[in-house]
Amino acid sequence: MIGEAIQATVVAIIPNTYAIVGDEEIVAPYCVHIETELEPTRVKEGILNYNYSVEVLIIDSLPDSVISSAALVRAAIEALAGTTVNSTTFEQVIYEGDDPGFDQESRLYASNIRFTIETKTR
Amino acid sequence: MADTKVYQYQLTIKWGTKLIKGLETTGFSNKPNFDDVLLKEDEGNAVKEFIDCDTEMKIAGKTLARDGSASGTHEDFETLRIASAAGAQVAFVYGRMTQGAQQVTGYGWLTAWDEDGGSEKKMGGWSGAITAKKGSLTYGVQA
Repeated sequence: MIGEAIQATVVAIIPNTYAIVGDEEIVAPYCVHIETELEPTRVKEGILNYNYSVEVLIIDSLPDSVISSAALVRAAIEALAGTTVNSTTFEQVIYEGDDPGFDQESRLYASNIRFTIETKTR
Repeated sequence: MADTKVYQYQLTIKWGTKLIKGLETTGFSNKPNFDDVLLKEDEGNAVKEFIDCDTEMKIAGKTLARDGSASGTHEDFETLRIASAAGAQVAFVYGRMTQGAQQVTGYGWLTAWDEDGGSEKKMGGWSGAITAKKGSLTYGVQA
């Protein structure tokens, strides 16, 4: 599954990495990722590839750390193109953008990185 | 006996003897031509006399190139691009490619070819039209 592959990739950079939602007592720095399946690309002969919208949210108390972690995570996820991780064969990994943020209450900085990913297997 | 649903993906085209890589959509259009005939025996009421049919098939798909192992079984957008420039008359098969299924066979020409490619890391699109040679069509069943 693509979620397991993203988890395995990002946890190597940010140990506190979670799928969909973080732990209740979570402490920054941490990362949460979510994968949404889009319509697959179909041709007459069958499904050509599966498409996913992937968001990786990185939270840290220091803005510089968010930026450096986001750069590492982006490079690691882009490097998945053409590889097979946790039985998911990645084709194209398209970086769509990066939304920075800051939460006044918790005083934490965030970066939400967005990708569109094509995979050969589900 | 239960009815059979014919799904969109089952309706496809062979150009020559080969399927087409990246083919997404097919269309089949028949326009019968008639002449108005008014003979004495028609007693003032003109009748339609069938002459022939203009038949055209539309194809469209993604820019997916075949690999070497598929060259014996598939065309792709690059081989069809060349075919469109050659203007050659080629046999075609339209319909379901399964034994006992209805098919239209005949000869035709690629009379239109278009490709669209943007700048994103995504496949482009292509589309074309096959105009059938009048009188060459056979409506039959795959043996």
